[in-house]
Amino acid sequence: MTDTSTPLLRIFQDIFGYTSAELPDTVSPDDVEGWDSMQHLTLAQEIEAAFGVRLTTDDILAMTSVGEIRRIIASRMNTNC
Amino acid sequence: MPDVSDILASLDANPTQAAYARAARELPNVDATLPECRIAILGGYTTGPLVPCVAVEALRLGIRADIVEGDFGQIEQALMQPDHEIHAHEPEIVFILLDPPTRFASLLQAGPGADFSPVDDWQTGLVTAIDRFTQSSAAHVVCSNLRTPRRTPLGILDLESEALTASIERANRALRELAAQNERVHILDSVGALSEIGLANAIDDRMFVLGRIPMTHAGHVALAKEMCRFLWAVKGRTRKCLVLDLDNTLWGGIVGDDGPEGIVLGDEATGLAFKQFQRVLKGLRETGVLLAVCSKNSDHVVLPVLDNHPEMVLRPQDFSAMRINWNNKADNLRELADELGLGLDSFVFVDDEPRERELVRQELPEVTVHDLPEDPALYSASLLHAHYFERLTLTAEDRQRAEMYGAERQRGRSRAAAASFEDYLRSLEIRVTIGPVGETDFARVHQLVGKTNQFNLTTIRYTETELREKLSGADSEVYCLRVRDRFGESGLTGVAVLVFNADACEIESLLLSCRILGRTIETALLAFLCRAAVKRGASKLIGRFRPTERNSPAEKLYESHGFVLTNEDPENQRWEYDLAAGTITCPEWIRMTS
Repeated sequence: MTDTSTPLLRIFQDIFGYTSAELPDTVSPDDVEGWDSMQHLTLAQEIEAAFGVRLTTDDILAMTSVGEIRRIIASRMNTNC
Repeated sequence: MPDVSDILASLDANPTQAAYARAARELPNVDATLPECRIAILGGYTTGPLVPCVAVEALRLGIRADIVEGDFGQIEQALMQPDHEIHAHEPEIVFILLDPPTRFASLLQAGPGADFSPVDDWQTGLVTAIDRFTQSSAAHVVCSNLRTPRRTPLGILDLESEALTASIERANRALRELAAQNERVHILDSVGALSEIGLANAIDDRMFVLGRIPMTHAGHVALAKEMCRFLWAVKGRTRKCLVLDLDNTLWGGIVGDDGPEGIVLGDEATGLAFKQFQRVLKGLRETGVLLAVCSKNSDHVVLPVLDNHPEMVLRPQDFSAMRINWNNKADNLRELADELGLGLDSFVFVDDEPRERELVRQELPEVTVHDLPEDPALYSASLLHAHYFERLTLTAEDRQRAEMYGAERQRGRSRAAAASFEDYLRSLEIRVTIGPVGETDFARVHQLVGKTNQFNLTTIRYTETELREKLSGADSEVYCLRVRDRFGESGLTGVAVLVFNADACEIESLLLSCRILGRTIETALLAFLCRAAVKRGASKLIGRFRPTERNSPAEKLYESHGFVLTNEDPENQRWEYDLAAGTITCPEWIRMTS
């Protein structure tokens, strides 16, 4: 399984100004200021650019926590090779 | 204080959406002396992701954008309600961004002959709202043109059918007509901006279904760059002079080595690329951009080509100044700036040789150095694509600017040859026309009021509304002045605003373009204003002078025409002329017509 931690943490820092050094799976929109429906779409596009994956509309809707995001990235990276 | 070039360099290394958002967050801390432009964005779709792109692309042009967004889908409300928050922002530009395929997505199901009046009604409402808005606001309104869906169920029959595409095209025509007749309404080429990067790169249907955002990040950046051309124009950053190298810039080859018959210029291949480039340059000259030559060559080698080569599109009279010698090009540019009376910051330098470009970049940082591509076939597009010459108005004076510079050179030669100054003035056969400001003069009058610095007695920058109030007021009169002489027409080059109060007529504003100074035209103007004052029963003519850093050429105007200083305030001088005791006469070498 590819380590998604550092690039994903950097994306959270860029988009939300996320300050913590840790990005646990449990982090969700409730925990991050600015993670609204519009920034969620920015997040999806940043993830596509950083990991070289293509997300479906359902993938984007399913990204309800960092854990779910990691799972979706991993599955799309495996299908894309 | 973060450095602008550092912010942009770090962004350009990886220009993602988040990177734009991060760069935009640094903007409040950048150099506060950069000009600020207040804009409002009214969107028929979600414009949030676009805003940081506009802020950053404006910074790339050296402008700090202060952006306010209207609420989603509330365009007509924002335009029609005088107490709407966008008015409080006092925007210089209001952008209206529209995407019909998003807005009228439900109409994709309708076939030809169905009811498309919702599109026509929407367009009529929008046109009315924009027109009305421009009457109560000084802002320029820039309305997006309308994208038609790439494909509809009609497929290849779409373009010949009366369906959604046709109704959107009707709306585009109506917007174009509005922009043609309202000088403060303009069209934003969203369609062009997106097609330049390719629709597949610009549009993302996932973003549309999830957030009603029709565009990708790349689409937002392309649109933001197009929008920033308007900020450049409204901030008056338009460059005025294009300085051109000759060898391998206007023609292929080196004329000193290849001879005039050996240069590559014509209707085939690379020669055609250069000929096309000359056509583009000539077209720019028609919009008021001055062309100048700066070439390492000898006169006797180059001038025959400019005069006689049958394939040349540009001729010597198309150039306002030339430096053809073996000197350092930076020195030549300084001399050209002096000769043309322009600042180096209004110059664009075009040269195929990267070393010359680098020299100028280092020695003269205020000059804009164009990054000419290596391939001549790409010259034309690269220059047309640049934003340097974007402008929001094009007056008759602008279009004739290059001619007027030519005429000025000839006046200079005549001055040198005359026996006395008065002989010179007589030889010019000057004709001055002064009259009230007509509707077609208004744009030019307002332009002069805004940009004249040297011969401007009170430097009052009337807004369009204030100027219209002076025009229509019972106690005020506004006059405009035109000059022509033996060498040509100088155009509308003077403005005077008179205010009447009891027996006094005050010259609230008087300004002349520096182009017509030194020919006693100001005496003719004062003579006219005396007569206008007397006609309204005034017995005294009051002249005001407020010194600024730039207007010392005007400080002796009233004193030298027999006005008397009547107050003790050097910052706001009051000069009085007793109309009962005499009048100012028009010089005998100037013929006054009305």
